[in-house]
Amino acid sequence: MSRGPTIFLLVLVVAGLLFADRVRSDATPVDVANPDSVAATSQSNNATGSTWYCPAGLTTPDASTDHLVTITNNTDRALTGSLTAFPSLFDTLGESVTFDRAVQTVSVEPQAQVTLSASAIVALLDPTLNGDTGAFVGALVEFDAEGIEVAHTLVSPLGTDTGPCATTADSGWWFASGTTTVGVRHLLFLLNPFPDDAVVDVTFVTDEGARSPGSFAGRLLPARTLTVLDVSATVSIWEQVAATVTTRSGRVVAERVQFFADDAGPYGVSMALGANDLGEQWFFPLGGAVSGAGESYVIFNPGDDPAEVEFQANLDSLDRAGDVAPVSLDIGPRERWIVNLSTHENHPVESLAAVDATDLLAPGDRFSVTVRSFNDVPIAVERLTTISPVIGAGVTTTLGIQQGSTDQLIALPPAGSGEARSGSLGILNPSGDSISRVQIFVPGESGETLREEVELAPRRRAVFPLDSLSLGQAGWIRITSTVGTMAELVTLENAGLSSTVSVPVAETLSVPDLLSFD
Amino acid sequence: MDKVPLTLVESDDSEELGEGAMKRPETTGGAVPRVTIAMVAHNPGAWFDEALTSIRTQDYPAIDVVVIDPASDIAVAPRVHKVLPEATIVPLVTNQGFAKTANTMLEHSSGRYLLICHDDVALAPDCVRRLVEEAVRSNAGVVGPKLLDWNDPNRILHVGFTADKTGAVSDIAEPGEFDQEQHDAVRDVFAVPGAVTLLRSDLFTALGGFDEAMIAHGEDLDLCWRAHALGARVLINPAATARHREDLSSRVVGHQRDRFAQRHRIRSLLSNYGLWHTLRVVPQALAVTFVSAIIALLQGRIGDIATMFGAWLWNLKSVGSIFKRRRQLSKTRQIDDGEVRALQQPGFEGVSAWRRSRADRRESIATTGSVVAAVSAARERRRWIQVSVLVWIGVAAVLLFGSRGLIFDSLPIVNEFAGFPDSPRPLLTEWGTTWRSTGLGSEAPSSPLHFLLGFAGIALFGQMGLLRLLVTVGLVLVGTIGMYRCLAPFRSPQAQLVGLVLYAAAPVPYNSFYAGSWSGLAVYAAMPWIARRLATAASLAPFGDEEQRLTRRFGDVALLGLVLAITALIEPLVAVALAILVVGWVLGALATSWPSGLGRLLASALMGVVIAALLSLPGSLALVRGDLAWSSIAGVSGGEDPTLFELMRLATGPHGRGAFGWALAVLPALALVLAFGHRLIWAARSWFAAVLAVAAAWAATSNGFDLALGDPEVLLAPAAFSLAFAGAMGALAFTNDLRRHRFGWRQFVPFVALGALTLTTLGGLAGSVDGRWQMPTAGYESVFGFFDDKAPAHSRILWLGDRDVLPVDGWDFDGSLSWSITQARRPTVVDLPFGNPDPAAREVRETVADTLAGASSRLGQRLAPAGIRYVVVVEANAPRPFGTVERPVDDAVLRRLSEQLDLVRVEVRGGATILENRAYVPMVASFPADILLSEPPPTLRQLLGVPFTLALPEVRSLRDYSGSLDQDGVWLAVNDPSNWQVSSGGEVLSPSPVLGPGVGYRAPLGSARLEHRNDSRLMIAAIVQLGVWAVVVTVLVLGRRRNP
Repeated sequence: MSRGPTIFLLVLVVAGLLFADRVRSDATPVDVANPDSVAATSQSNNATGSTWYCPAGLTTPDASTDHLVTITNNTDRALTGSLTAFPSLFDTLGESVTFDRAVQTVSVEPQAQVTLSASAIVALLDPTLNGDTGAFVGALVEFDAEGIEVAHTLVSPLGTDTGPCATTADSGWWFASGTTTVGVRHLLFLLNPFPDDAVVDVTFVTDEGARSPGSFAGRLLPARTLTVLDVSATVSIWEQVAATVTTRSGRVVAERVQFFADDAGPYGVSMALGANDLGEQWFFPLGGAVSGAGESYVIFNPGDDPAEVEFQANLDSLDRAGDVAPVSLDIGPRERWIVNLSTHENHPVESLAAVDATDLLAPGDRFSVTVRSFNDVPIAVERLTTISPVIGAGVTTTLGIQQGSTDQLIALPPAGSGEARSGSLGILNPSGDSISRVQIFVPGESGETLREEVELAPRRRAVFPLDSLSLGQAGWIRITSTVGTMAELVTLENAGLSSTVSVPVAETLSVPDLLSFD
Repeated sequence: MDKVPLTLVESDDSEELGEGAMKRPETTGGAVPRVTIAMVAHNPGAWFDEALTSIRTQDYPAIDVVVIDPASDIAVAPRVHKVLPEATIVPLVTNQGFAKTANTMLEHSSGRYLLICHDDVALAPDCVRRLVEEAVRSNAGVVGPKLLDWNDPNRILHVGFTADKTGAVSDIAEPGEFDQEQHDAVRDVFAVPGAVTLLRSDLFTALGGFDEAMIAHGEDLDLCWRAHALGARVLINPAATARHREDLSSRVVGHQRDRFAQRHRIRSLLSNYGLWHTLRVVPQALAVTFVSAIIALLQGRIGDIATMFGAWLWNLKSVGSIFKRRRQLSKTRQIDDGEVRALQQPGFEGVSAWRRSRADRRESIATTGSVVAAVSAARERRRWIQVSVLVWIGVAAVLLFGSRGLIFDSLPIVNEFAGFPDSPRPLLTEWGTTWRSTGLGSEAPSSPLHFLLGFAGIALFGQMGLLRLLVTVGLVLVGTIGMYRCLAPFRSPQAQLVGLVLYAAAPVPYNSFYAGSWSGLAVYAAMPWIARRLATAASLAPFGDEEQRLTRRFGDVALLGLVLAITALIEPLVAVALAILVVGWVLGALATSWPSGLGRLLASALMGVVIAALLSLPGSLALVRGDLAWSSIAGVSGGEDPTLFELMRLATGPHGRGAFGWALAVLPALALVLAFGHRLIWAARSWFAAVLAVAAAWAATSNGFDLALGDPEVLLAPAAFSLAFAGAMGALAFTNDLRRHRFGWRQFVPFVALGALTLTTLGGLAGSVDGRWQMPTAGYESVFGFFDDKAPAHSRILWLGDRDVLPVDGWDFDGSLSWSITQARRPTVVDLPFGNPDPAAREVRETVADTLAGASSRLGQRLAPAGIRYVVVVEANAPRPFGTVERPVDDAVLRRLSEQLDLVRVEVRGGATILENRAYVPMVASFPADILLSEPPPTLRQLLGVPFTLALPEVRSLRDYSGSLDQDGVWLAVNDPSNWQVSSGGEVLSPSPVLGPGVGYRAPLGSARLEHRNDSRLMIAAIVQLGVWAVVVTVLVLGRRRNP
């Protein structure tokens, strides 16, 4: 028997273990996109169901104000689900009063769209809800199948606005933009569809700093109810107010509605989900979509650390690439800043924390916008677009996009009868180094048909006028791409100005690399 | 004086010696060199005449006698002249010690040789002649005789000395050794005793005589040491003998012998080495002094400590004379220290003497049967028994102290430490039924675990809390006892105690407490018993011999199988632990080129597993056939990854994580470098098993491998056992093998071993401080106790969480999470073992997975047909703030669950999230029969749309429901309803399939009863299985009585 080989073998085995351990320790985890960071995503193809939350809606008995829920069945089979309406009212003190829910079964044919009117549902409910003042109605749409996209449209005498419903509830929501001036009714819709009560705190940020109204602190949102907060009645007059909704317990869905009814100001209605996830990089594919409109970007830093932010407009013209220098901003904790690219007299962006960049771009420049925080402090960015009352009517706000997708769908807002759709579809390739081949499909009688196909260079965008896509009565546009892209739609019709972003299929999401600004 | 012809032999190997030093004796022709005998006589006793007479009777023809009297109190000269009239008397006025007295001969010596002797030696008649002959023949500078006992010349006193590097001398012969001519060869020695020393006069002069600072003791060593340095040979010629009384020095220095011996030894050490060796050896000598002082302190020999350090101080004071002597020697030195060192013994004499004394004592008993030795051995046995008792008391005390919180406060429900029912009855009832309530219910044979625990509960008069303590905390004691017994065949109490201490100090059981790993504790407890049986069955030395009878060997294999089967009741992966052990032993044997017995080892292990599998039927058969999912036994891979270094310290939890954790491996490592023979083989076997166990634990806990092997503690239990075993081999090697190594770093092993054992023990002690091995102070008993108030027989819980923290057993959910379904009650051992998820339960899993993937926001509704009322997500092993192990579930999972529109969160302490299903349907419910039993069967949405109520609320057991019905349809949500029966008014109702796992009955309004009837085949199988257990145990017990 010998000692040497034994010790040698043992040492060899231990050394092998140590080596293997070291090699394995060097492995780095793979980044995986978190689909929950996007408020609205459609379910993945292998899922068996989907749930959509559409908090913001108003109805009146005459349906002049209505909450339309549009359900798109992008599959080849008929699907059945349900819509649950969550009605509520303000009492005489302005407090939200909730009512019993109403559930309506919904069937949607293959490759078809159904639009449900909340007014029709509310009409069957408590008579109190059918008073002249109308009622607030949130909606919950549930389907036991994938391939469903749900958007909702707020119709009002002031105009309409459309946006996707949310697919996730969360414990924090941020709104970078908001107006509480005279003539503007600013409402926050908080939907708690869950069987547990939720408690929320709402704070606002103005030029004077952060403010937490007592009536919005520790606000109880009973289980399975819609609660509406009248911000304009609580917060003093500010042209720009950022808001934060955080929950102490439970999870909610938060959406903002603003009615601009001041004859001397912009005119219209704006509806937008908040951001449920702050980010370091935000994209806006469609800059300068409406000629002559006021266009501002509101950048909100709700955190405790200052953010070093750069704002960049990326011109479409290759000849002028690099002509527009980035705008640098140091945004303090709980501060919001505004970058004005174009304004008019009634554009509600008066603020001490504002940058006038109106001379940054030449008239007629087409561009996309990227906002980036360079010191890892997450922010939220919204775009405010208003049309001068001198020209016409229209107000819309758009939350920036953080993630790209290779398969996304935009539900078109209901068009007026016989009215041709007017607007633009912008598609941006946010990648820093990959070309994306983009295809645009529109549903027809024999299924979806390819309307456009284009290759997008890194950081480039393409803009398609809606009339060039031959939409007809199509209810949606589907965009596929080889590399994750972002899509935005801005329409300007008789009903007013409206903007919406695409709803990506959850499992096709991708987070673009953080860009450096040259 | 008799004159005998002297034959002298010339030697050709004369050496060139120092200046004025050695020259060849003049031995030409028939002339003989003259010898001057110098006897130092100080107050000699009655024997003196005999000593003088022995000189007179020498057969050597040329002798002068000089008697030096260092101021004796009695008249010496008359006595000398009476016997040796020609002798010269040299009287001294004072007695300045033997050395100085003897140095008088520098002036009076006239012969070529000088024989210096004490006054208490009686030379054999041929002594001087033989000494001179050998001196001439070997060209030796110094020659000594064999010294015999004055009173018993058959016993040897000295045949020369050897010395270690520090000058500590030891006899070449053992004290009192019988003279059987065993030492009768001329040999080089390091020193000859000063009682009779023949040396060449010129050498004596060259050396300057004895060191006069040495009053007595050590002067002989010093003289010979310097003689070596001058190149002189120092020999013992045993053919020359002398009897010796050995009392001169005591007459000279009295009770200060030890003090003088120490002083003079150090003086020689400081004087006789060259510079390099002085620098090298003196620190070692100082270290030895310190260690010796510590040992003396422990033994209460305070006086010895003073002697040790006093000797150094004395030499410090005489540093001047030491330097002088060094200079003198350096002038005449002919041989460098390296060669002198080669003549010295390796190592340290103190350690060698201790080992020698022990080995010789054993040998003495074995070879001579000496009564004295036997008595001595018996005394030693008694001493070891005392030590063993003390160590055991210490180990038990630490275990009790460390477990006091668990014993006197509470043993919380944490992970696998499930609760026990309040009485043995539920356990025995569970054994008595073929209905398994886990999952959505299934027919399966019962587990002997329930019977054994129930039976044990009865034996303890229903004290189920005590039983729970015994089968958890008690397992540590079982393991340590097993370790102690496992090492018994080595017949070494030291090895047993070292093994015991190391095994008790291993972190595995305490990290098992920390993690709530009952399986880890079970394998820890079983490992030594398994190893002992395996080694015995395989006849691995010293556990058995190859001639062992087959029946005996089979008995051991059967016992091995029984131990495996009992352990497998708690942790079936004990088979993996066994495999690690066997493979480790095989590799160790191959590495040491000692493959003997490998065939028997493999065969024994295999047979043991087969017997265990037979005892575990039919579960084992299901596993073999693939009917039982591996994840049902081994859980899922991954979890919280201990690092490889932590695993090497067996630190899967907080115990063993500190630097002290490495100390556990020190003694075992020493075994590898010290041991010989079967000790080395066992050390190698153990090490390979330990490394293999660590590797398995590393692979199983690393997320990169898809290898589920249960709790890491289960895999590390063989490592703990193996290290303790190898440590015991280290202790054996220390006592048996250390002396076989030449001097080197191995000589420091005792100190290293002592330090390592101390650190290991301290590490174990440190873990005991909090009284509960860092287990949570409270578990989920109160949190989950609330389920017991909510119609537990009518509802179920869906559990989700990491296997490390789930308070119930579970199945693999997605490769990282575990899941399970139980009745909605506080988890208890009744729910064990889980077995496979039934088909309906698998559907539930798919439903949950779909929902977590975002498919639905109505999980409660979808779980309703399964009777699931609660979804519990567990993220810590105990509610906060008591939890010690955190295994957070992916936030997305909790988010998805919290987004369900029909799940309500129940507010409980953090650590677990309880969601109540608002869409819950009782698993025994009443519906309108027209809807329930409509054709086609109702959809879930339809079923949930009608009013239903909890049915048959009177529950005797989970197999027996009764009560009145307020609707005419009975819904029963079980996976396998074949043995369920609803009767009403004496009529047995027919079931109809309804939805999912549910079955419906149309029953008249009024009272009804729902009962489960046992599957007779499964019940018979359970009884047969228990019978087989009983037979095996009986046979083994009887067999062992016959063959103790």
